[in-house]
Amino acid sequence: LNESPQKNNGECASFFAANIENSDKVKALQQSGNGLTWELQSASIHSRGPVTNQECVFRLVFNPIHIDLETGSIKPSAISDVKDKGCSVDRQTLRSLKDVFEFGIIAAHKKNQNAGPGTPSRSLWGVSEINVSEIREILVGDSKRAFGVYATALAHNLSHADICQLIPEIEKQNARSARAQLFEAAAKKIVRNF
Amino acid sequence: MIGAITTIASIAIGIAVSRPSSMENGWLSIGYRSPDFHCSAAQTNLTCIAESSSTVVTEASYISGYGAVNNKLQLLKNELQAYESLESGWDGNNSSAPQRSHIAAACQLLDRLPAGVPLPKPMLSHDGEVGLYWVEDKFFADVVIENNTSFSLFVRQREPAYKEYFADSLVINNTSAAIRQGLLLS
Repeated sequence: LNESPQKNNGECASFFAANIENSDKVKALQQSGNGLTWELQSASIHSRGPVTNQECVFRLVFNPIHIDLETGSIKPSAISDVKDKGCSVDRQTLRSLKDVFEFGIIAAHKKNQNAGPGTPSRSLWGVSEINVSEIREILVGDSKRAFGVYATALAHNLSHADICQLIPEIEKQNARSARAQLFEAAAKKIVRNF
Repeated sequence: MIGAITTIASIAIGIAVSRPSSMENGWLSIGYRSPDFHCSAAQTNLTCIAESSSTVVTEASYISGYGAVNNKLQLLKNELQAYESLESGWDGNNSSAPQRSHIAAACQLLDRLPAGVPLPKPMLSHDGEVGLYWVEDKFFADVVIENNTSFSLFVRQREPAYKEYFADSLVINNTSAAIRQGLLLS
């Protein structure tokens, strides 16, 4: 696992820049065969360095579709984008929880503005806090790493990172097992208020 | 007298067919005693069901009563049906609306759950995938609706040991047997 950040070699950052709007970015990453290597590199020209195992990441969770309102817990669907476009998170080392909440409130407002008339109004439910080491320790099948965490900083959000599934969907059971384990990690700590 | 018994039995069978998940409570509601069942603390709901297939009923569903289970089932269907109003973009860029036929299939699946299995929760992924899931003390399971007539099932048992099960192309009309097999890990 990543313990010694390396320099951006260009290819990694180019890949993520080229696929920033690709809803099949994760599939392209799997096909590249560089899923594990690129974790050790900066995946953006804006990146402040690779995501280390000592970090935590924050995942914004919006009400109501991805929340079990009976228990207040998140639903597995809250992190389902790890399998295709990548699950956007913020690095705790580069963005405070207060800023994450403020950003989330604005993001919910933007989603409501852009959503169709049938979409229920959304609000920020909370923030899931996940240890990066826990994500990287998820194994499936014959001890295969299930997820990579990439430093995909954006010009307007240097803390941006992506969690991407390294297991192709064709490995149906392994893919489901991977997401089930990530869901358990993501559901452990939900911060509701700042 | 025989006619009355036949009528009551017909009602009970009707409840069992249309609401398999509340079969025992259906018996309760018409004055019959539910069969005895015994699950040790070490058993999962799943193994308990496996070992007493003729007497499947969990304490929770036993206590909740027919009406409560029925109402909860309807609430779950209502939540699924609410997904029908979503349009593309409902969950940000590139998110897809669910197919109505998949929502209907999920509702059918709920109706066909075997007795004694806890009710799942609905979920909708950003790509429009309709599913159901269980988060129980001793296992996690999820269902993904594949098309109008079939689904896949994944089960990850936590206790007594980690164990997984996966099957796809399961026929919704045969949900009860498929779910029962999937949850009977031990």
